[in-house]
Amino acid sequence: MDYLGEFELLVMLAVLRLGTNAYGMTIRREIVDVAERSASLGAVYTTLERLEDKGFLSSAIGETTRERGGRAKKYFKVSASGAGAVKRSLKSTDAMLSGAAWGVAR
Amino acid sequence: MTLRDQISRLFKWTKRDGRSGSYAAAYAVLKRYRKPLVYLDSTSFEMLLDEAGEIDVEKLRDALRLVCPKGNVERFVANFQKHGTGESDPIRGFVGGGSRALKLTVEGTPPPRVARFALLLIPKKNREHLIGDIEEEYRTVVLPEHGKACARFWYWEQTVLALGFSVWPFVKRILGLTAIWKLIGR
Repeated sequence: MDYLGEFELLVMLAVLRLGTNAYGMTIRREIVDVAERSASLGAVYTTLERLEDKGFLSSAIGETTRERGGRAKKYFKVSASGAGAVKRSLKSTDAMLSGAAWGVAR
Repeated sequence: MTLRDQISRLFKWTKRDGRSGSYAAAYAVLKRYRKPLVYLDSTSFEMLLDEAGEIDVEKLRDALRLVCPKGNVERFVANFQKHGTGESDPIRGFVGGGSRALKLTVEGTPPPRVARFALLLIPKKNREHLIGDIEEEYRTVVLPEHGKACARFWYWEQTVLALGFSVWPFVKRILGLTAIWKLIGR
């Protein structure tokens, strides 16, 4: 069973949040704006490719626009196994969080 | 108010609106205050639709008020209602400027040429989409928000990181690190 790494989880959640508008740039913006974490497009694409290979994401070629220099967008969608993996990751995180002592050792 | 401040206000408005759920999809560029060019792409257009999928003129007006003098807002709205199609083609509404102004904004500050060539080294699988995304963000977000110098730096940064990420698996394979990583259970 494949588990998601931290950045993989962020990417999956960004794709879920964006719905039908999930492509490289919007996914990166979502991570930067919402998770307040820096992420390069290179990192995002490497992760997307890996998640696609694992079968957690599916992709479809979209439209071209002028701002993109006529290049097509690649839209991503979370698959059923991907959604399951996200739930598992969140569940295990939740389980570990409950009972975690937040005190800092001095 | 500087151009950067005006654009920043528009970005905040689109975020508050929350239709995209995330990033500011609409933007406006004032080439000069007296000759505003407001350029809406397909994504920003979506932000301006109401529940029924029709153009919400009040939303459009609100967005434009942040960046245009009042008279120009009304002229833009009139122009928009007359010519706006709602399709994914860019819709241009402006007072003065015309296609030349659009060209100056979208194409007038091209990304660094060497960086563009360097991006061709990325493996073919995602090359087109990755370069498209970098260019789109460069033109629609970074350039209007941060200016030419920062945008060029950003483009270079993204190029170097993209190359790094695409080359790293090959380097790892060459060095035999993959096998070692498997051995240590990574």
